Amino acid sequence: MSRAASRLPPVQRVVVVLHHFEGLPYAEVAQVTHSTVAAVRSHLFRARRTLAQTPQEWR
Amino acid sequence: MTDVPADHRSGDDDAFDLSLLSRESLACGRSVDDVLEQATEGRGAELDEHQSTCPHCQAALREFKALWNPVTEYAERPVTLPPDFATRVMDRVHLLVRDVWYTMNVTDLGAVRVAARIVGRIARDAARSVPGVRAVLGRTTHGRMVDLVERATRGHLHPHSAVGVLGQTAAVDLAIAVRYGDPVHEVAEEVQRRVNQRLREAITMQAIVVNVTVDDVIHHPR
Repeated sequence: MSRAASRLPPVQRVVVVLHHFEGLPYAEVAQVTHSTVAAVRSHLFRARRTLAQTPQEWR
Repeated sequence: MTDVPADHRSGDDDAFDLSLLSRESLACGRSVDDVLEQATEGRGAELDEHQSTCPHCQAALREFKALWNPVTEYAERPVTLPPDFATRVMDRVHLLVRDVWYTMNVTDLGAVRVAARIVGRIARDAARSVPGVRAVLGRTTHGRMVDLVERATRGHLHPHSAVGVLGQTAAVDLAIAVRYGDPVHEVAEEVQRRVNQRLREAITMQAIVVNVTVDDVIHHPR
């Protein structure tokens, strides 16, 4: 899974780590990344689709 | 999983159709992103009125949760640091601070250094590529990043220093003269943009601060 996460584009990787691994809510991720909640959600949407399709052998 | 709608199935009877993840919406019209968000945020059991009777949503929520389980399990694993982690980090920090006149990119194969004067040269040339701009390296304003770099690097205490580098961070001060009549702010921002872009391309810098001061105008026929 770490291999799958490491293959995400940097911005998506950051928001996935902060939100899904570190448990920060959207608003705090936006604050940390100097972004907006809408942008954070957008990056997470793309990242989730990628991670959900992670090949079984990588898991 | 016999109640999964046919449009969520691939040819393999036991496999969820992953192509659904490349679509915008489920067969019922619900956004895939919204349902995926609901499942991955642990709200898969909180069905709204539509979802309580929609087999597409229910199947997708169940399958997305299953697909997301490895991520959840991975996130819950305790993180263990190698015993020499702090030492290794501090070794790198010491290496960075020792090389105050060079950028530093530490790779698995070794260290790559670029002299600060090269950073300055590239920045100045990039600034001069903007039509109607004359540019010199020079200290005019003190940005936050410049102060941080200065504090960490003894070599940058010289009052006329115009380029500060530390690791993959660079701070450059530029003084420019613009053509009379040109939009000053737009020209200055174009200088910042070009310098930033050229340094990223040429030296793979990660953080670049470009402080521009417009301190003169040039009168000449267009």
